[in-house]
Amino acid sequence: MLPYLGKAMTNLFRKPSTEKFPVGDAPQAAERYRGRISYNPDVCVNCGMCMRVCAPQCMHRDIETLENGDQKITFTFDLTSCTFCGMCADFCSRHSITLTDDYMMVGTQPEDFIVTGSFIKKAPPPKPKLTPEQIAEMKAKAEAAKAAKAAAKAEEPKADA
Amino acid sequence: MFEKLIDNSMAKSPWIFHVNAGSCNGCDIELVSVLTPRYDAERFGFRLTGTPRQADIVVVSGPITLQTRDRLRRVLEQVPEPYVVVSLGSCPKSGNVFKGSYSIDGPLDKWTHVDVSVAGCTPKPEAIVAALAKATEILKEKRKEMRK
Amino acid sequence: MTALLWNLFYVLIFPGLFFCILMGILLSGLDRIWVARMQRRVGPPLLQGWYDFLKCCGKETIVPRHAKKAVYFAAPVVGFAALITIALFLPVVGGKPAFSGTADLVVILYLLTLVSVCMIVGAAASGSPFAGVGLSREMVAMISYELPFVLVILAISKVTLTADSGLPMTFSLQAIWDYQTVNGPLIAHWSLIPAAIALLFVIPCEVGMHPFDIAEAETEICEGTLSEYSGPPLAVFRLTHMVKMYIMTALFYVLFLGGISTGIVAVDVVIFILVCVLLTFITMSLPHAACARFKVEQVFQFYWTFVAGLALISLILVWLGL
Repeated sequence: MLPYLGKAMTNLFRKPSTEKFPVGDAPQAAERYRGRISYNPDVCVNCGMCMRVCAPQCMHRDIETLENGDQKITFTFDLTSCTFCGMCADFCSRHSITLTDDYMMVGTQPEDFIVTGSFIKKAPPPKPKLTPEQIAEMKAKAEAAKAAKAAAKAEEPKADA
Repeated sequence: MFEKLIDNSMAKSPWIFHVNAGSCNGCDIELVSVLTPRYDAERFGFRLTGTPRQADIVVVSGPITLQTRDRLRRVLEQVPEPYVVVSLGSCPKSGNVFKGSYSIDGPLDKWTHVDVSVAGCTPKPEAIVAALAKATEILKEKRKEMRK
Repeated sequence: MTALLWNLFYVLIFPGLFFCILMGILLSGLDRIWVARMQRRVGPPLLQGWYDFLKCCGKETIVPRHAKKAVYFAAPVVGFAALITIALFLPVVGGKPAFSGTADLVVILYLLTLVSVCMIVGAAASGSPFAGVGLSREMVAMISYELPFVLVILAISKVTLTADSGLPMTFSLQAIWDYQTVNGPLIAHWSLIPAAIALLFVIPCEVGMHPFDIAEAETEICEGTLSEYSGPPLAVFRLTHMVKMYIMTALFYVLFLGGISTGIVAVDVVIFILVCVLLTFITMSLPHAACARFKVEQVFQFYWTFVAGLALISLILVWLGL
């Protein structure tokens, strides 16, 4: 007990080692800290790899088809469900998901914990309509190719003999 | 005037009761570290009590397991009004990686009102301090509402 | 009429209710700040005890189903009233207590026990198993510190009785104060030094401060005796705890450092407050910062061997006339 008494007495005259935090700015997180998810929908290719590797299934994909055939794809990340393992960011081939160093994830509403982003997936251009002549021409071409193949097959055994 | 004094003291002396509802102990350790010299929550009057009867802020950590569910509800019933519930970490709000497990009966919203939640697995102590500071403000508001 | 007004003043303002609460909050605030600083923390504000009290007043009170309601609410009030009554017997300023009797030291001993008994009764009335464990521990603590405490008081009364100061009897704080005015403070009496050390050790256990707070161990038995209390009754118990710090330090001042008087009341009060603050630091803050909580049997062993031994040495020396 005596050494502790000595330590206590010396500590009494030293500066407290307490951080000032709630009074000033929050201190910087450590390097490569995995905090709040940031999602950049502009580079996302909608491969869905992040959803496959996410253990707590914290992301959600909404696909909404617009009138002109385009698809509006929305990714929603629920931070209260995330373990901040960083797997989604590692597997994201286009680096559209990154984990920032913002750890101040405090809120009173569910909306405070939602990270979301959406992009438009363009529908492929409509296929050109073919005229009946074109179809007949293509059919004839296919017939010719078939006949040529059959002829080649018929000649092969002769070559062997 | 006396009522006003009480209102102001509400925010200056919040006592914490910590409920572990099947947590992995990560959040529990971080909550204790809030009371250590580095983050010293006692300078705002925080104190860790041993009984829910004296609590003002109930901090819940962990997904609500079937074993802890009834205990958690009993603890919350024993806390005198006004009180604030803080969900610590990702688990109580959603179940986190335990989501969909046969032994989980969450989230916490199903059983009580959650006033402040902190995301993170585990949250940094600074985030917990910020959440507790927010909780004290809500506590004061609740006291004012209760008086009316 | 004036006598009645004076009595009201004594009970409500000085040295009664108001002064006791003021000193209790001051001492408990200083104690918490010092402990925090010794652990290299910033510590709570000085008036934290006051905030705690007000906050508890504003909370809802839940009475447990198995509680005896009347006892549950009466216990904290009776305990607090007993504590305030002690303050009226202490001749803290100018050697004049508000009320004096022929054997007020015995009354103080009883009233101090009553405070602890009220806590025990309140805990028993709340009907919680944790409070049950807490009250049994509180009883152990009481048995532990009562023996050295009584031995110390016996030694003091023996000294003041045998002294050649023409006093008719002892156990009167007024007489002890007068004896000290004539012969100097009792702490200068070498055969009473072990008794003074013993009383210093008794103070933290009597108050229930950290290394000896076996009855209110919040981590093991959920606040022990207070585990079912909430709201205003809890506030009164917290206040009792704080005021007890002041009463015990003041008692040490009267028993061992009394008799010093400069003639000016204000200076006397300042000296008295400073002594109380210093005693709080030595007896409560330092052990709190340097020790972990003792086990139940350790407390008992410590008080019945070491502290009671010190008091006994003093008593034997005094009886031998040294």
